[in-house]
Amino acid sequence: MSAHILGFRKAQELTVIDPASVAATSCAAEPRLAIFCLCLSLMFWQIACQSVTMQDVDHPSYDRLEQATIDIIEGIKQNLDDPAKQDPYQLGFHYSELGRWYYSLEFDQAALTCFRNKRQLADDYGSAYYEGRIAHTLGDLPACIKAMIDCLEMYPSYLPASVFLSQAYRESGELMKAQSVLDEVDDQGAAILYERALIAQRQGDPNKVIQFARRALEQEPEANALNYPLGIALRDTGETELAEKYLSARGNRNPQLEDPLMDDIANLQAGNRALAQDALTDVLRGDHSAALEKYRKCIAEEPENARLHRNMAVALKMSGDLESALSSLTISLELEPSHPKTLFNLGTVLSLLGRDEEATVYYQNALQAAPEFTDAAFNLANLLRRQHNYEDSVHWFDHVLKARPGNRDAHMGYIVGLIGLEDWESAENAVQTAILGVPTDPIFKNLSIRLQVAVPDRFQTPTQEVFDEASLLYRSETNLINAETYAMILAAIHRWPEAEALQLDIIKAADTAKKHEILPRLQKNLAAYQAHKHAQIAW
Amino acid sequence: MTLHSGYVSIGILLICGCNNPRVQPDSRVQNQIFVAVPDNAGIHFTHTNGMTGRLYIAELMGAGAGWLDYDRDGDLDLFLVQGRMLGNHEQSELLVDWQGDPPCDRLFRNELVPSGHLDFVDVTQESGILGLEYGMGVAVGDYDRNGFPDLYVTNLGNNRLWRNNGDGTFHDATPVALVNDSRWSTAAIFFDYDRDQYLDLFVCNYAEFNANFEKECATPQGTLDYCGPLSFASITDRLFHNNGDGTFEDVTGSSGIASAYGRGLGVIASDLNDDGWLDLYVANDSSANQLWINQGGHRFEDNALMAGCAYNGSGKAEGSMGIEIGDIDGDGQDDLFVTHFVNETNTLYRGKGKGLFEDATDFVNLATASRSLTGFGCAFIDVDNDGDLDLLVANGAVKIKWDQQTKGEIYPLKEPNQLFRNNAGQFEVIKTEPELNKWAVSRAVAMADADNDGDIDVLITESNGPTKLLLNHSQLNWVGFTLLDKQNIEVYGARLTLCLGDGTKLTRCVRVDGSYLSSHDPRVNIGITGRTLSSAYLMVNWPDGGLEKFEGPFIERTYIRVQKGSGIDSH
Repeated sequence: MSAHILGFRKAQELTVIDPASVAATSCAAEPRLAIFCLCLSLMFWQIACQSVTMQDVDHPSYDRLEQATIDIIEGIKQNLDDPAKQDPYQLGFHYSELGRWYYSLEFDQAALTCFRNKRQLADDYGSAYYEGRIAHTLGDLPACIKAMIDCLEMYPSYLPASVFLSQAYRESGELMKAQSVLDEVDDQGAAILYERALIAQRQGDPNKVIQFARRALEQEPEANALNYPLGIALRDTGETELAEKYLSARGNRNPQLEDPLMDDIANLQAGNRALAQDALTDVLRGDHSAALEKYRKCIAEEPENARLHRNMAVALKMSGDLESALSSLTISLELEPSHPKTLFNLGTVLSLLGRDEEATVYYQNALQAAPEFTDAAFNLANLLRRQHNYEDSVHWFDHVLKARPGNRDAHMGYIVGLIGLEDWESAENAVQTAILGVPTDPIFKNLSIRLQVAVPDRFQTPTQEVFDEASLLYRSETNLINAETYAMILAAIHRWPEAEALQLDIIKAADTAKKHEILPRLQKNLAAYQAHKHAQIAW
Repeated sequence: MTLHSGYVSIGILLICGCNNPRVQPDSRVQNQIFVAVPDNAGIHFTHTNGMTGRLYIAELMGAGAGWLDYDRDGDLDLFLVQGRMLGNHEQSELLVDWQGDPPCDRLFRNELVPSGHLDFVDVTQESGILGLEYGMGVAVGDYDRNGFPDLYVTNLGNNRLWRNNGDGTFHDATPVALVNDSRWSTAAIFFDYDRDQYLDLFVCNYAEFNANFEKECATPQGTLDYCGPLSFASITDRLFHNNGDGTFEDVTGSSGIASAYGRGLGVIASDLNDDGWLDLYVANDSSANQLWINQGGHRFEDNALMAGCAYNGSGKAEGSMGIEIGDIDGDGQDDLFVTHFVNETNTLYRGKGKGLFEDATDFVNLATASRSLTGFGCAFIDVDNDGDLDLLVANGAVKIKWDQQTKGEIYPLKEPNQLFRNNAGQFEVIKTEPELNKWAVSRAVAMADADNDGDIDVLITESNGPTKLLLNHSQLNWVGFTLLDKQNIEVYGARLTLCLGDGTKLTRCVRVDGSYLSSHDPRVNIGITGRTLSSAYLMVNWPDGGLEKFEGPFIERTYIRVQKGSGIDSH
């Protein structure tokens, strides 16, 4: 609070450069809440040597702004207090700085005044550009157009100004002028083509829209903002199916256009992004509650940032709050329809909620949006396997393995899927491929053995080599799986008492380890060994 | 409007404008279209949103207003929806306390007929209406076909169906009719989607909200502010089928309505693809709008994406609030207008026929003027009775305006309203309307010829502020129509075209829905200043698909009743 008052007093202390008169006026200020402070009508003076009139700046004195503004106001004060230091360029610099701060915090009116003051003191293309952008936001198209023309006079090749000027002309219905602005630009990049498409849309010429939008998309396929106008134009030319495809793929990503001036503003706004980055770090180190707190703050500031909603959903999911995660993802999807990561996350959350059918659809949609999205393919394959849809499951595991031949779980899923389909030959081949792909994992050797001795109707008396391999596996790593396989081998070569004894030990160990889900299978095989039969496992 | 016995196919219902008693504006306002009425014509109503400084999103949204001739005396009465306390707070915490009795919904009777003076009297108590919920909107319709309009009031909480007993009183028919929805409902409309003559009911729902578990949101400047819509999960709208026996059936799921939804705030019913069945267009806040195409009276399918009215021309979902429909360019196709959030434009979707639309906001010059304001209620009104539809938009922010806040405004969301004149399909702002230029947190616009003089007056509600009636004193030349079915019940959803002798065709929708949370005058007024009705005829597309021609002669400056089946069937 004291900082605000300090700022106010400093504003009041501003003195006059002779011979101009200064009326330092202040808005009536009655703070209702402590967090908000005063409206300070900051400055109104003339600088005789310049014969210009500065406009009032309604100074919003919130905490985050205060220190910066105090510094700037101090600079202005010094400039004005000491005649020897009177320097309109320096003063202009301060206005420019102040304007950028205001603009970054979306105090548009205050920013506009600052840039206009700056331009009176020492015009520059940057202030003109900012003035044009803000005037557009405030609905003043003539002012926007004038400022952009000024900007281009000072910096003819500043492409964002050309595009924005064209947009302003287009919005005001001056289509010929909009077009001629673009005609003067050498660049024919996606951003220019997009603007040309929008002019054509305004002219009611869908064929031209299609032409420009397609060319732009060829240059920048990820600029999905083009999809919507293209879709509408295709609809209007009767290409309904194609239209639907493009309309469904609509998005918010405009063609890229380097705009260092707006990047400056974005950098000032980066505080929020830094917070989002911190939140991501929290997620990665498992501090979900810290992450969630940060995400909530970020989202409050940028409620339409789909990525923030998506990342918060991940934090929520990891903290176990699946319903909230689902809500966040739904919002994210509304903001960015067809975003593969959002669709993927929706699949995972729904899957965790046991809503497998819905999850399947989201994974499929994710893959439709991004066919090479391997994680989505893997999860879809797993889900399909759980649903006993082995045929599709195998298809998607195969898809994953093409991208990730060393993925142990994908190999396993693929093999299990083939076994589910009772395609034994393919399963055996898949096991051999897995052994080569993941040579360090003995599970595939284990599987190879089992496929020989535990598949109904395909039983083979194991060779000495197979026996040795199973024995080695069992002795090198005595775990349930290897032990079970060894017991099968013992049974296969008719060493029934040993098989029975080992199986009893396995059952006891499984029981101790609370692996109750495999007990029925183990019991079944024990009964088989006791009846002098071979193992027949349920895969 | 009033239904008289001894009916003729086309009869003169109301008197000439020149004989009509009305409030005369003083000389200072002779060049204005809308003027305030002394003492607000007895409509003493101040909306309360129950604000305590806690910044609940729900306190931003209300409330609506509905015009209806509940006593069938020939003038339009007024129903106003009220708010109340929100959340677990004491009355002492209210930033703006209410005076006297706790706030509740109000019914005002218009004394124009027979007294001759436009004067409204509060008849809430004797009407039996006891609306104590946190109110949002109102729909008007004669759902039981007894000739008296009923009310459906949407609330943040349980909704209410007030059945008109026909004797000046209402009773709560919600439990019997089975049309309650206890969530956060906003706009609602009565419309007959299956052509069985009984009005069905569509209810927009906004979002999951609980004042006791409210979220805190901040501005980019780091200060507390109202949360935006995306902070709350959207919920499904509802469709109730009228069984014709005083009960309804919830057909939300079976009709397909549940298959897509957003945060609904506005809805209109009209045959938007010219197939003879009433469709629905739903305006959603910050997500895609829906165009529910009626599939033969059984199911609805959302075709907004392909139709080009789900998103604006750039493919972006906007913060849709109010909604309006009308033929602004005289091409015989309905155009849609949707009001939006600040930094977005209000959007005009121009009808291209066959249920297709295109964003023509720039083209009709409506983009720039709306970018810095947040639009809510809206109405296409021929304010000067020149035959084309002008536009009125009620504005009021939903994010705190720091400049107002620092000047001590308790509810710093004020913005001016806007009136646009239609000049051959291009709109220009009329800046000479002081009553509209006053800054307020305006929400609903409900239009009606309150004084029966043939020009359209407007009622504008404020969030947490007084409701204002503004009288239009344009008059000039006009003709009005009331559409009735064969049983003399008012018809909504028809489209009529007045074909003049000079070849001019003036098309209007017959409806009470649209705007924001409100219900309009069911009569259709058509401005014919500078034109004549000689050789004129009327074409009516009835909502059941029939097309009927009505020959004149029609008498200027009168309301004419048009009954289905009494004209020439053009099918």
